[in-house]
Amino acid sequence: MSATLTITGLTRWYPATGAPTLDAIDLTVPAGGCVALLGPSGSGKSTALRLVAGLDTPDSGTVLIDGRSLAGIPPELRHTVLVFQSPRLFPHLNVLDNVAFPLLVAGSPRGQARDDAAQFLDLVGLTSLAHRRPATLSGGQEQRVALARALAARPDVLLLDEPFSALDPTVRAEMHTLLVELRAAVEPTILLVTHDQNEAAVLADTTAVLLDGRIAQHDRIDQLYARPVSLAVHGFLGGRNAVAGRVDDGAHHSRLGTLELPADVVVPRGPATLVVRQEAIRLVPTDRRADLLGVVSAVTARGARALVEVTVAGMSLTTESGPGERFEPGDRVGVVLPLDQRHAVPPATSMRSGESGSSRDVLRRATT
Amino acid sequence: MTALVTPAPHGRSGRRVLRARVEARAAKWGRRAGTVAVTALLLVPFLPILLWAFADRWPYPELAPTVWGVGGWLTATAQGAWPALTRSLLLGLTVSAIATPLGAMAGRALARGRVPYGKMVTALLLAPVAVPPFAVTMGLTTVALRLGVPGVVALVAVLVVAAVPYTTYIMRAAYAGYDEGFEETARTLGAGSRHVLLRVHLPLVAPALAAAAFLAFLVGWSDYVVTLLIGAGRIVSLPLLLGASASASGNDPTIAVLALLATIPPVLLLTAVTVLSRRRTQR
Amino acid sequence: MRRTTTRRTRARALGTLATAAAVALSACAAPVSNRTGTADDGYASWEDVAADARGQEVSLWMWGGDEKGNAYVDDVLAPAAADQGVTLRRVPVADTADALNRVVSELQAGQDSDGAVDLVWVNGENFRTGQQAGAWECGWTDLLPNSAYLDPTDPLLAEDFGTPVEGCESPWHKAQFALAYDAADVQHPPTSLTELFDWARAHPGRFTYPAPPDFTGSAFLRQSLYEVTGGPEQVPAGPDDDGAAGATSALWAELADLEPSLWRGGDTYPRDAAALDDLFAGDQVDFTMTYGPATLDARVADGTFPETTRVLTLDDGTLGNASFLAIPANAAHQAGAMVVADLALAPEQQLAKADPAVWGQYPVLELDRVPDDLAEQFADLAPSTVVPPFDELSRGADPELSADWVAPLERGWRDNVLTGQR
Repeated sequence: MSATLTITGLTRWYPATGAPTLDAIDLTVPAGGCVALLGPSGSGKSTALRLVAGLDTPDSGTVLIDGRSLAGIPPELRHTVLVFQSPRLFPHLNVLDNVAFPLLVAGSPRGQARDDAAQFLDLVGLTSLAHRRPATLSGGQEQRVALARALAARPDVLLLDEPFSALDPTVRAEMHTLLVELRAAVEPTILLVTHDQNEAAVLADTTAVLLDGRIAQHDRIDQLYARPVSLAVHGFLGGRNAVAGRVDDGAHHSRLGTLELPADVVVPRGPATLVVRQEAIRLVPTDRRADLLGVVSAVTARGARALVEVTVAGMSLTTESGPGERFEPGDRVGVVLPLDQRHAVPPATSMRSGESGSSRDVLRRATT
Repeated sequence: MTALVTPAPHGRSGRRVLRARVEARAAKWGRRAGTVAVTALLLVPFLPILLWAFADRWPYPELAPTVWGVGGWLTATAQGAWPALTRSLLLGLTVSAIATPLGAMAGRALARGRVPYGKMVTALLLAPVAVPPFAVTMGLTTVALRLGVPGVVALVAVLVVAAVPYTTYIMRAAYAGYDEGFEETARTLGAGSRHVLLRVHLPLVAPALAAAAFLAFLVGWSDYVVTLLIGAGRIVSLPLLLGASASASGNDPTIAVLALLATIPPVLLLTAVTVLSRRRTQR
Repeated sequence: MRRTTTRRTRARALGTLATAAAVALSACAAPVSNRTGTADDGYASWEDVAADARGQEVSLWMWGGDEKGNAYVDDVLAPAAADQGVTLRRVPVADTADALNRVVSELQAGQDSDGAVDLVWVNGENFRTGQQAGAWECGWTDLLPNSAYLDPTDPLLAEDFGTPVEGCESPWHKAQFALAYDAADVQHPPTSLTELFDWARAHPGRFTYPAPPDFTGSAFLRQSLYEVTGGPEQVPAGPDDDGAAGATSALWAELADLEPSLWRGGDTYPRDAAALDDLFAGDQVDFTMTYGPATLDARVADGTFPETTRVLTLDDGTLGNASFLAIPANAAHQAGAMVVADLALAPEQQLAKADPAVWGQYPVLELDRVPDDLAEQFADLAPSTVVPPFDELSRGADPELSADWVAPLERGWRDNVLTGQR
């Protein structure tokens, strides 16, 4: 029941807007795989799903399932089931009949459709609620039924549009566990749209970052963090440290001085921005070996950890304190930038309008 | 006293459960009493009609009929009440069967913003409701006659026009709150347009459709002036009989019977509509 | 079962207003040709009429508030019409003005043939309004063979509430206003309204009348107007004519003076004739009144009214009127309608509906012209101790006032008597 989804050059341009909502997207989801399409709201994620499902028509580009083009095929014949953030269980049908719906419309006799549906309901652990009305379910239960109903359609590709973002954090975590189990059990091909990095991290094999209608980067989530291709991706993923300078001889030169770059970071000589994740920076006593020396300027509590701002050579770097570490403004500290966590991005690969902005500006723009 | 107390079978928590159960039961009875009171309030005006319908004699100062009987029913039957009831049912159902789909289509188009100047159109749609029906009917009679439309066709057409504002208004409100995502979900689940219409769209708007159909039925069911003037007296409906009977004093039992006949079918329909839509949303 | 359908063909103010407006409109928009002449497609002989009528379905629009009348038409008249090949279909209306409205609408739309209304039970205001609109077919009544039984000099048949009939409608019933009293309580019955008023003053609380605009109460006002002025010839033709104000102010003075002696001191009046009948039946008052005295027998027989109920014979006579059948100028089935109108005049039909058990409508025929055996049956009809024979009852009958008078009198009573003293 799973197939390979291939999207090439997919473009959608609504007449009223100044720029394409989706601009020549290329994406492949291997059979049985799960790719997350991660982006801020308005980035075109949902449009992409609608185009795959056939609820909207692309201006150009193709959607292929196992190499077969879906152009001109109506949604009901595509075998691509779309699950929305709102579960949209049919209020006039009980839980079991909701799950049996795709089987009935596919032509199964009612009894067989219900028997079949009961198995999918069992898969999401809701057998006991089979005869309840959707209105009596909790949000998490509703979304479980929606998943069971979607799987009952035996889709070639399962399209999930922010399916868990309306749920409480604990329920959301349960749903994540459920989806991991479902993947193991029935191996559907999944294209998951989300704006939640953690969700992408937990659920997807790979993640494609969609910014302003384009796929900025498609890679494993750890690579996206450590090796963003642009300041925009770095900023979107929450990276706070971006230091303008230039690269020469495998090192980055800036007001912070000369910092060696790891061997796998290949940046052409010339202007480049040094990016280091705040989680990667360590603060040490001044008597220990450090890459830089600085003074703590601000401390913001963040649960178990704290965000610590350190001023180095007149610039501000953001770090996260480790468990048990305490810092006060005015503390002098050594700053360690582990070599393998350093990364540089050339200015040309940042976003259309983000070349000169700091990463924080990019972040703000991306989220508003 | 304390010595006589037998040990509570469920202890303290048992007593609390018991008290909660008693309170729940009291609340339930309270609600029921409320329902009964409201129902009684609605039924009080019908009491004299009910009494009159079975009163063969009820002289002025008496509080209850002095002679009971079914004279009113016999007279009403002789005046043609039953054929008139059938005609009114047919008229109401015909008007409903035409005005409801029309209203649904118009309401959907208005709610989707597919109609230019939608707000103005809505206001215009409601205009017939605000104009005195007698004046409209006199005008429309002339128009229908000039066009040479047969009376019964013109009658149904005019009543449909009178009913469409109501059905459109209800369906517009229903479609304004209607989530097309249900249809999209159904389509990606493999439902073609016929399945979407029959298994998703219609069930979702069914309560509004029922309400609209009921109102449209009432327009045909209760009309007097259009049936008489535009219908050219071809259809002697229940309101015609009732109107004629009620225009005289002294026919009270007959009037009461006709009034009952005119009231019962809509009440039954309304009850059916309510029960059906409640069954759908609850359980 | 109680049947006091005392109201008759009578226009409500609204209906009349609308019709009048429509008439005015039609005069502006689409001038209706003056159709009040003789029928241009007029029949030369009754044989032609009868032949054309065969197979026609005649729609008779009639006020449907009289249950006995409905039953008579359905059960007696319609089968007789069927024998002549005419199907008679009754359309019950709440108001005769509704029938007129339909006809006027059709004429206004230029439909001057094939109209939906073939025959209307009409008199008074609606007849006059229809005449003004040119809505009636005229000049056909002389063709009816049974019109030979009518008295051509009968004033009640020549004018309909002051409007000349002129062959535009054919008589159907006569009606006579009458007061009734309980002879057990009233030893010396009054012989005029003036004596009645004196009796009422001498017996406070034992007399009252239905509050106009109840039809019977309104008739009582007109009867009283004749009394205070000295008779119909003393009342000006219209309510705005010279002398009208003097006549009415005398009437209001008399009725206002009478009020404290009425039932409940005149604080309240019975809302309609049925309510007055109930008071009479319950011995709360000693008099009741009706425009259909033929119904009295049945009410005595069923025990509603006391056995000592008697019709009050007034020396100067009482109001009488006739009601008619009119054929709209554009009726689709004029021949059939004429056959029905003729049949309605047949002595057998007039006799049947004169029976109080059937309908109790007084005949319009002159009994001298009716074959003797039938005339005898009229005389034998329900010999009654309650109601005198019609010829006695209608002796000296006063013709009705012009219909113009009805509404102003009802308004005047409300303003001068009902609210005058409070």
